[in-house]
Amino acid sequence: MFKIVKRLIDWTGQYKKRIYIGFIYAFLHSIFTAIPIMLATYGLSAVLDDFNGKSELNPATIWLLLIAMIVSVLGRFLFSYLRAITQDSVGYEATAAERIRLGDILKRVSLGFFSQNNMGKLSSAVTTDLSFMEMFATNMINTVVNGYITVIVLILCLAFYCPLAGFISLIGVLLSALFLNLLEKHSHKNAPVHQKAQDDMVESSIEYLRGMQVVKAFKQDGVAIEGIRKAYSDSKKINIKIEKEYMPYNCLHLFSLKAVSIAVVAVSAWLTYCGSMDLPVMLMMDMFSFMIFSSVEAMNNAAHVLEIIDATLSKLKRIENANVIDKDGQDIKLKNADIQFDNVSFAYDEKPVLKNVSFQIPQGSTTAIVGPSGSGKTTICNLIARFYDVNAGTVSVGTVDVRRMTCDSLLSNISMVFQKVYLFHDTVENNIRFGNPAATHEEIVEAAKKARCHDFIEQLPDGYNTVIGEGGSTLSGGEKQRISIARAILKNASIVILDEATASIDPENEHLIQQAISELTVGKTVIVIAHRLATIEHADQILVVDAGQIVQQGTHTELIQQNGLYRRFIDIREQAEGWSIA
Amino acid sequence: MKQKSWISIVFSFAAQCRLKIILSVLCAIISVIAGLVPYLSVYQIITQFIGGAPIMETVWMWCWIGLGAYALRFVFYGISTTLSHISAYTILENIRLSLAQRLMKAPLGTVLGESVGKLKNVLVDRVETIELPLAHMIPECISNLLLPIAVFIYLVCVDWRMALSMLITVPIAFVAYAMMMKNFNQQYADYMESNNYVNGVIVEYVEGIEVIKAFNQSSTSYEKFAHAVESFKDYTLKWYQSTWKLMNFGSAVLPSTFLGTLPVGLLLYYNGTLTPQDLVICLILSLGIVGPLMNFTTYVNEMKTVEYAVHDVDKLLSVSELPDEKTDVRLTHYDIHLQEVAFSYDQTQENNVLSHISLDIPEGKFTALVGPSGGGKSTIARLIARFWDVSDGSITIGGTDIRKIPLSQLADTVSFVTQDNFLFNCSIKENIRLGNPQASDEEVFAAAKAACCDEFILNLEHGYDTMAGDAGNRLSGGEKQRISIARMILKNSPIVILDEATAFTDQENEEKIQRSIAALTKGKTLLVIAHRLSTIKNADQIIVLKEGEVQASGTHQELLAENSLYRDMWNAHIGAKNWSAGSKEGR
Repeated sequence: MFKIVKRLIDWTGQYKKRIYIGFIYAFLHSIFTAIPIMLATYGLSAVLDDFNGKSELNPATIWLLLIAMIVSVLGRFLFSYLRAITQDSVGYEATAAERIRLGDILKRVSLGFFSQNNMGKLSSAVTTDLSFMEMFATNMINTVVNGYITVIVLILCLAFYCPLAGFISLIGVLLSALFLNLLEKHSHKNAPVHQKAQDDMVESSIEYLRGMQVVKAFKQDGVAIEGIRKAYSDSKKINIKIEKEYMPYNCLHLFSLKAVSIAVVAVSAWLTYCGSMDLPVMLMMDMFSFMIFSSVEAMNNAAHVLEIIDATLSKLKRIENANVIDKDGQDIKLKNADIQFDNVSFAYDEKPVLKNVSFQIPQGSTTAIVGPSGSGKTTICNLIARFYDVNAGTVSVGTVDVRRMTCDSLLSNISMVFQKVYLFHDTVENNIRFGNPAATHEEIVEAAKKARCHDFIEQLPDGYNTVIGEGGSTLSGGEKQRISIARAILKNASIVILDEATASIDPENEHLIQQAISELTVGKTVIVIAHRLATIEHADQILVVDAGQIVQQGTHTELIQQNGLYRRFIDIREQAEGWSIA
Repeated sequence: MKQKSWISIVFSFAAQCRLKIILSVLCAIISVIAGLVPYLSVYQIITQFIGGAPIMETVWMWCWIGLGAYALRFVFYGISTTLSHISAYTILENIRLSLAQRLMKAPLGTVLGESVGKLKNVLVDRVETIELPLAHMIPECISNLLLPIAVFIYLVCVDWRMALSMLITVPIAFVAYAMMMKNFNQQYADYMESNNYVNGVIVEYVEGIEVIKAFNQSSTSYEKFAHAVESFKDYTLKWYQSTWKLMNFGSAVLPSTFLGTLPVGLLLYYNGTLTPQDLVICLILSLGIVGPLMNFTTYVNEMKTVEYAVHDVDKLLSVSELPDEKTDVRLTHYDIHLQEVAFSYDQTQENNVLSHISLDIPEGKFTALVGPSGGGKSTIARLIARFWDVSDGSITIGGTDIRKIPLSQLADTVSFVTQDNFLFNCSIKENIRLGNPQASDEEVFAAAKAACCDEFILNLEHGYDTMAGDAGNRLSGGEKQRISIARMILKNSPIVILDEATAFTDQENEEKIQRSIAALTKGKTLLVIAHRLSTIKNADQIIVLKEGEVQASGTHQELLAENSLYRDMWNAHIGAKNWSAGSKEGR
């Protein structure tokens, strides 16, 4: 438990000092928690003296006690408030610092990092996981450390009057710590089991929702509900089993504390009987026995939360340790836009995707890459943009090895048009300006006109200032695509990498997208993952990729005469494009 | 209108564990009572001493009783908590199941209109947040309420003035908390909003990182991100800081029950109305109610969590069902007729997607719907499959209103080809056989061959007996789609609807999918929502839709001659077909 708390305190980094100062306030706070008991003892001893006729009770004592009580409450308030302002905000501040740190790392790692770690998990680490830290980090430090500080202060008070009672209380705390430790071990062991049940439930829920249409079409409603029923009931059973496992330790932890408080009562009764303790002290012991451990009792819940925090911290650590790809890169201005692959081999994991690939793309030419799915077409494009580093060989752009450049200086030469369009939740104008932050409004309109989106942008409620995705401004797939092309046109990079779609997302406006792409590619070095016959036939160079190797290379007229993959590919494409139903 | 109270919603799911809940509460009460016994023990021990000569045997006896009572307390506490956890998890399970069942009965269009992620979030995550508060609140809320009441009553018996003095801190703390909670709902809503905003910015930053990097805008995007994170932190801290004073004041005052009992007790003793023994027990008991009082403040927060989650659940549960008929009707013909059909998603006339459309889709013929996007093509197809019910007018199949046809019979009659390549978790053979449970193995193989999936299925480790779940990762999207087409071929329903835009997702294998679709649609009443006009130029009937109305209908040749919209679309299509990427001529 303390190991995780230590880890947590280290995580707060620059705010660590405030955590430690907070401990001092917690210490002072617990003294003020003990004072009322002392006051009660004082009052009771006055009462008993009066009762036994030793000395009469002075009414002034009562007023004194009232004032002292008020002071103790105020002291308690003061120090808990001071502790709150020094400690409680640390969780939020450390979380904000961590988010910013992660954001900085994410912009510098290779894109391979994002495909290895799924996007959803990454964003949930920065959002949900850190929200959990935000809420519980200091809360847990407070519960555990301040809880133990309080109990130790109270035990010391006890020990001051009766060392034996103090000693017994200490044993109680240790005993409860033992059971908490066992609880924590179980919690640690069960964490993956619990997580798996949870994942299964998520998975089958998603499958159920996604399959609903098909399920209904084939009247499998009953079967589908059975499936999800099983997942939900499994999750219930596992959770209940885990809960049952915790319960004995939980109860033993609480019972050991209570048993010790009875022991304190018994010991002080015995000592009083023997005459070595005064009656008022015994009464104080009895009162202490009921409240001394209350700060430790709450710690059973902390055990679970700390387990989750531990896992979260490990997850964050993994992201923080990601490799930054361009540590040693330089900013280099390229002389030309030639692209060269020299004996390039590459694998995402063990399985090789590219094997000894060599080719040249001269500046200003159009190169079409064709081949079956999984042959390595996309990988070639990713390597040009250095989203990954090669395993062997070199990729050079403008005769410079891409590994010698910083990502920023390399990518300033490249525009990429993805099939999946990503627009930001921002105005249309800002989305286009993304291509070149220094662009004027006129330049943006000019790019929008070239990308054939000026007309529909003007129709939007606020024109160029319409925020994408807000009321009434839902854009069609083709319109989004054209905005993304306007962005690329504005960037005006000398190399254009294009992933071509056959079945366009917006077939009615296909020709507009095509015109936009033509504007983008005029006079550029173009690399296109091609599916359309016309594109392939007009290319200056065609690379036919199969199983990670370039099997054919040349122009359409050259390749169509060879008996190879290319001709088969063209045949199939011709069939597909000429297809009609019935 | 007042919403249904969340408590009654929760307990409507607790039917089968009502006994467990009652038992859990009873055990909690026993546990609380057992927890009071040690106070009595200590009282007895103190009486021994104050009274004069203590008898140690009695002292020991009371110690043992106290210890035993504690043991009893935790045994019952354990039973109670276990039972309440079981109940809470059962309630969770029931909520999830009825959500799932409700969604199955809701109009398909409504379900498909929501993102899977959002629905899953309610189904799994939102429901999960109920568990812990529920498991603790069921027994503890009642017992924590009971204990202070019991102590209060006891103290009233001793001396009513002591009882009142014990509670003196409650109103003071209450005022502090009330001031703090004054605009809690507003603050909480604001907080949730700014939380959503910062999460939105973060998700955008992570998901858009490819674009951000490709346009080397990492530093500016990063600034926006960092700014959002900082201002969220400042906002949250400002809110919390404004509550700290009051909150810490409340939590310092509330447990300080001695504030009242100590001076008042002494005063009462001074006046001679309270014995020292009673004074001691009053002080000790007033310590005993501190815990439950403090617990109550946490319940207030937890109840809010449950309340929010339950209302999310309730919103989904109140989605209306699609009315269904029980008995099958006899269909002899499969022509489709739309009579004055109007439809809008929100049931208002202004937002009509279709405005009083009438059209005929003859049996056994090939009909195509064309027109600009947003014209209502997909809506018509979905209304025929009854994803929703029409707002006005009627749709008939073979002369029978589809609302009179049971949903299961309609599912048998209409096949809808989508990009949804959903495979069930059974063998591939059984997946195909779902199309017709009576089909023999040979018929299944024949369907697979017709759908061009025979070849790759045989290459799988166990061929047709490979479990779809195991093979799932190794099958491409196009392969999964062909398996689902094989299933539809076997199903052999008389009406086939095909949305071209979503039918071809795998461009690498487009030609194989085309062949399988040709096998599926042969001789059927076929309705195609067309985008590439060359695909449907041979259709028996082409219907041109624009802005929810029928503009023209006829064959390809007729429309080319008569309809300017169709002619423009055709020319654009032909032009688009011959365009090439990288070509110099742009306009």
